[in-house]
Amino acid sequence: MVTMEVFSGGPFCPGCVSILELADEYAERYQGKLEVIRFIGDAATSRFAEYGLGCVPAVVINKKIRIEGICPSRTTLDNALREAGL
Amino acid sequence: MPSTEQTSNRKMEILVIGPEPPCVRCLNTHRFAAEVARQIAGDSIEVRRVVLNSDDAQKYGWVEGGHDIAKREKVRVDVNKLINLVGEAEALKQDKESRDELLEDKLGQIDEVLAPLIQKAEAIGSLMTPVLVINGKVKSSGYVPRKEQIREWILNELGGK
Repeated sequence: MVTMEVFSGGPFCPGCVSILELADEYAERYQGKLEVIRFIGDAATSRFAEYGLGCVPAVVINKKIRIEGICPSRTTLDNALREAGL
Repeated sequence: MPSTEQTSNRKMEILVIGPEPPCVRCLNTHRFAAEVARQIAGDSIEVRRVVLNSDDAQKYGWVEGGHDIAKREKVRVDVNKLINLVGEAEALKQDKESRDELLEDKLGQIDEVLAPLIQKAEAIGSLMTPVLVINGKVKSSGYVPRKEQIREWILNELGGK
């Protein structure tokens, strides 16, 4: 099982809205193979600091920071997930 | 002569209002303000982030993120251009060799794309993030101010210039 942690700010900026939509899409597409965990707003801060992240939106796959500060394209996210073994 | 441009010991507070965790614009507004404040007065100026829906933030006016304004007021911005520019700004931020001037230019280009939202926020009387407050006064909203501008605001508030 690949784990994808998605971080967004609260209240949302446009990039955070897009990344949460993308997270929902991927959770459905890879049901049973991909665990998607959402960290939103204040609830994100402790985990956010743990990874040493600077800004949202951000994506951490299998505990490795893959995206920070931008909502990725589907191609970028697909590649990151492929590298993680999905 | 001190290494910093020490002009006053008066306690000053600078707030950057935005979502938490911050997006690239709020993050850089905070970083620029903290850097300039340190150069001017060492650690004697407190620079902190404040989440936009907190009581602390709302006492300066009705603060909103660009997404909320766009959705409610049906303002369109070029989202693809925005995403590309944010990606470029992020790449510059991660490149230790690149100068802040380049990042400031890139953030300025993002502000241009967001201009319809900034104008709408002004028209309806709300404050769009990032909001920069120095000494209890709102100095900017909706854009990332340049470091030179922040320096001027701080010095004016300190009464040193």
